[in-house]
Amino acid sequence: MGPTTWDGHVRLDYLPDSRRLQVTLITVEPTREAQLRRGLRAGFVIDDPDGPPAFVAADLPAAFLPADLGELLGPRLAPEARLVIGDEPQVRWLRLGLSEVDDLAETWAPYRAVVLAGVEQPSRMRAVGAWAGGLWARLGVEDIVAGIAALGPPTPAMGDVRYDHDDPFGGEPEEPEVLGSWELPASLAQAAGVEARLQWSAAGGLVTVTARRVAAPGAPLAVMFDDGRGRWTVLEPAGEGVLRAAIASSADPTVLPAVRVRVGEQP
Amino acid sequence: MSAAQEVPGRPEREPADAAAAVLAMLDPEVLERLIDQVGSRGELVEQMATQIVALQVRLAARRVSVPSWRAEHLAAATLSDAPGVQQNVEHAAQRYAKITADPDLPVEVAVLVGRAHDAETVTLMGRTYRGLAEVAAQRPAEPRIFQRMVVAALAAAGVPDVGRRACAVLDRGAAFAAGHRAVGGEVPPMPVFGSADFLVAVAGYRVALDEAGGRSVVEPVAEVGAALPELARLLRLGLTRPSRELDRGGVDEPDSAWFLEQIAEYLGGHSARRCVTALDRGLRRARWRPQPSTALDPRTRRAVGVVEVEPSEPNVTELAGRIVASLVRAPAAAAAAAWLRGVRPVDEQDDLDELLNGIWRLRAELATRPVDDDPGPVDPALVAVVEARLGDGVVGPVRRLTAALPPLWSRRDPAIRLLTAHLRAAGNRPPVARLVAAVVACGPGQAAVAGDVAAHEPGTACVRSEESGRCVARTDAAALPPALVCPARPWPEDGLVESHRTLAQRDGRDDAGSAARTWRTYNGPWADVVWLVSSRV
Repeated sequence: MGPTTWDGHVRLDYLPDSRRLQVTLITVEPTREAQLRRGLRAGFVIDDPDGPPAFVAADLPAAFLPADLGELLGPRLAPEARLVIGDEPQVRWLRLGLSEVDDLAETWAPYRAVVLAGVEQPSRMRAVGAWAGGLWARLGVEDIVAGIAALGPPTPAMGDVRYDHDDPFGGEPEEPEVLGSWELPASLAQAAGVEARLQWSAAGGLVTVTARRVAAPGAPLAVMFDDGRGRWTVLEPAGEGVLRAAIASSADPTVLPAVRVRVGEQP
Repeated sequence: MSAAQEVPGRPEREPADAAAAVLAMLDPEVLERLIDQVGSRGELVEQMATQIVALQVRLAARRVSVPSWRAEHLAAATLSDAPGVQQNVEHAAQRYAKITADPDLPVEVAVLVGRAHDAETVTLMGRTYRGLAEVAAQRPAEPRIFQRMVVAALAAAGVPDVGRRACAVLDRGAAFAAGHRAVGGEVPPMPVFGSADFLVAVAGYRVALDEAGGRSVVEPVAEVGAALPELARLLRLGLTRPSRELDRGGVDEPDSAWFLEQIAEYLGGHSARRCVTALDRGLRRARWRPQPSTALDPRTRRAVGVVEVEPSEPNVTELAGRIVASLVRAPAAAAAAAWLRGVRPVDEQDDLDELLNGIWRLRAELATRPVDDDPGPVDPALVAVVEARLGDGVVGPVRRLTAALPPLWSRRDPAIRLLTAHLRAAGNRPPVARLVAAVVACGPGQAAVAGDVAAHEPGTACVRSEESGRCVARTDAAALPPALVCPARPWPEDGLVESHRTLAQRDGRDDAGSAARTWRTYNGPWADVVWLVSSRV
């Protein structure tokens, strides 16, 4: 009968004109597709809550596979992807074994949750991605966006208009801050040796993330905006039992990209 | 020197040997039915041998010379579609003429020839089979279904050097499909079943075949797009037409086999479709009505009595022989032999369904077939390997079977996901597919229990899931008593792996009754070989 994604027939295409890499796990089953971030789309089999991506399309303006995408594709597909980007033929079939398909499915779990839900509500999803580097999850920013929006429109053009905040410490924040927290998936928090509650404070596109240690230092914890730039920022010790990192996005605060969090060594 | 060689024109091979060799090439379902119909394997071989001799006499009378290497072709001609042994020697002679219409037709293909195939289709089957072997050897990663359809289409068009031409068409077609995808080419609205990428791939091959036929392709993206509405229409038809056999699946389930056959026709015409349908094991299997297993109570779908694997004092050599004969059979004979030797099959996905099917068939056969029936031809070296594993110290029927078979795969969960996907692709609803897959994916000493039984509590030797609180993996050293249900049991461990409760939980429900109902009414693939053990075990 017709192939499914679990049979592991992969077609890799690179289209030099559009500098686009396409990975298709050929299947007869219906798929749902979504834009994950700028330059990255993925589709998953609708009826398969555990499946690998059936389709991935990445725009590679530099005609080069970024480390982050290489990590997502995994140790078997990434080197093959580099081959099709660099060389003829630009269409290439590859066969993944069952455990390789399973690994790919595990790596993409957080993105699969977003695509199959069909809506952006990752903060209520507990999907954990597992890859060679450890575990990762996707954290929704809708609370941050809503919080910033609730403060009212920024009015920098007016220059002299200031927000009138109660400021018990007498500081003068450049921008008003919004506070909140994420709930990390249990396995991820445990691996990092931190509380599941991950606090954030946001001022415009600058988000500061704070974790509290509950155990001896675990594997490193890192965060980034999922904006395709692929730069992880490791949470560093900042006082007694506290880890902290600050990440910035140049995007408009109303369309802030989601945040990814990982635990484990980076490649 | 045997008597056979002294008689000119008579095959060297004993008719019974040729018959046994041909039986080993049949689909297991076909063989099963043949044996059931005739009574025993030994009787079946005897009837075929008698008919082979009669056919030789008839052909000799017509001065049709039968070279000695045609012994198995003769044997294949004695089979009828029913399935059964041809009772009329004239029909056997007609079938022999048909399968020798292609002078190089391999016996593996000869056994697939049926009443509906004319000489032209048989010739096409031979060309496609050989062309496909050439293509598959060069391009092992590409889905066989695409290769088969493209090769059959080229063969039907009478193209010479089919294998080489097919490789070129497959390359071009994939590039056309990729190009269409990259520019976001328009795709007609998809029905709920079916993948746009799959249709675009087929459309790519359509355009590439046109190009190979001499038409210049100027705007491949537009041409791929132009082919899509017709493919979407076929898909929609496959979804809505009533299933050909009302007792399998159900009228409201999509007929995916029909759809794939239509694609073969779309690419290569009517005879190409017939050829693809005959050569594709999945499409053949989709047309088989599951036979109720004799090991099953038809009403409860539970094993009839407690499963007795073999008598208490088994002859180990005989048991090893039966295991080898039952497992090393078409269509996964090579994979099964490699597995019994302890070598992991390379294309594990391709053979996994068949190997599991083989384990269930073996269990059913050992439980129900008379010990004295001829198990069929076996490789003595392989029997020795299995016999060595059985040893002297292994006691108990289940234990012995587990000892005889090496572990198939390291983890059960991915195997369940693969089977689930296959069952969905065959038209089963997702919850049904998940349930059946979990019941099927059992090691040789494992089974699902028909009852509302909770999985065991994770202990110190278990890996407990942070998220669900259940046991998700165990160390082999700390074996769990077989009577406790544990979905995370490793393959070689005997015991229960599922219950109605754990099956329901796979769907995120706690209602064991729904799982029981689903299993009781299920009538699709696997229903004939798989059972739940009764809760007493």
